[in-house]
Amino acid sequence: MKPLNLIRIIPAEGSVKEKIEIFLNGQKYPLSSSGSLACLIESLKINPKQIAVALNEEVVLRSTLETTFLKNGDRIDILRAVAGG
Amino acid sequence: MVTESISSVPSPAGDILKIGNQTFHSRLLMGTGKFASFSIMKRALEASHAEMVTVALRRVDISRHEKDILQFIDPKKYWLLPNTSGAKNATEALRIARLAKEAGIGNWVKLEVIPDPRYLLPDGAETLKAAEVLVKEGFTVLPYIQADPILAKQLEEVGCATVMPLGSWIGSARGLKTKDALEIIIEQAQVPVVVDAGLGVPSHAAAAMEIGADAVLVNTAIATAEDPVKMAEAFKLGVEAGRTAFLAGRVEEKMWGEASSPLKGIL
Repeated sequence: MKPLNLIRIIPAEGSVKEKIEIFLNGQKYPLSSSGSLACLIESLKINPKQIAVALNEEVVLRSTLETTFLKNGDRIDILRAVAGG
Repeated sequence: MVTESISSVPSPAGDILKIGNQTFHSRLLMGTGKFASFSIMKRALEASHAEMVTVALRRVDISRHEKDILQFIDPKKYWLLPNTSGAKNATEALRIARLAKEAGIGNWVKLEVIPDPRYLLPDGAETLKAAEVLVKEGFTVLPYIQADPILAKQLEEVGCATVMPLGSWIGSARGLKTKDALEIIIEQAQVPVVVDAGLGVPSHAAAAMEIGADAVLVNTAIATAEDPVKMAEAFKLGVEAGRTAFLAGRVEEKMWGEASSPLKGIL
């Protein structure tokens, strides 16, 4: 399946509505507006349980997902457990 | 998560393995990689009687829905051990361990720092550096190392919960190529020694247990066998045979033959 070209994220209240670009899991994505990391995860329909997020290679604490807002050029990695030895 | 003993599987004479603050009855740790499907993996886990299983941490594929491995690993039955695979240095290993913790899969970590893609050999200096930090942050650290007795001691001294020296290269199925060094590590260790990597058949696992290893970790040999479920059972038996033999105390090797039948009263 082709990756999404545009992620319509649900903007958080009070966030600035401007188009930005982010690098999500290594790939460039335009976003329809800025928002929090929690909004991004919700809009991607990813189960927020048992995932972890890195923002610009820094670990994001679970408790700050809602208060961390995306900026143009941010590098975001969303990870989860997979099979491995 | 479970805080005490994780299973009711009986073990010979209450022979308990204690790692960190957890106790285990099974001395076979299982990796979850390379299985043809999660349902086969689940059945192999059951057949192995393993109580601790490794997982890796990877990017979510946002372009499609993927099955979630954690749906196939019952947290009441299995203790999760996320690994730091993919880390080529201490900094990357620290990031992966912290991410696994944030992902809610616990604060235990199989620390592996592997800069070498051909033999997949771990970098001891970077492993020690990362271990020291992770222990201070409250992680229970199980480091994957070469069979290096000095490094094993250093990792123990910085507070690692085990050491996990390799039998041979990851996935090579070559067995206990490092046996002499493993014996030194086992003799000196005050923490459990888990032989990790390179075990190809149950007799390799049995041999590791016979020389006094506290546990073994097996993945490829089970996952890529023709019948992974049957092989998981075979490894369980191999580990149990080796452990029981170790507890029984083996006979000494001798240079010459020694008759088993009486030498008196021969016709």
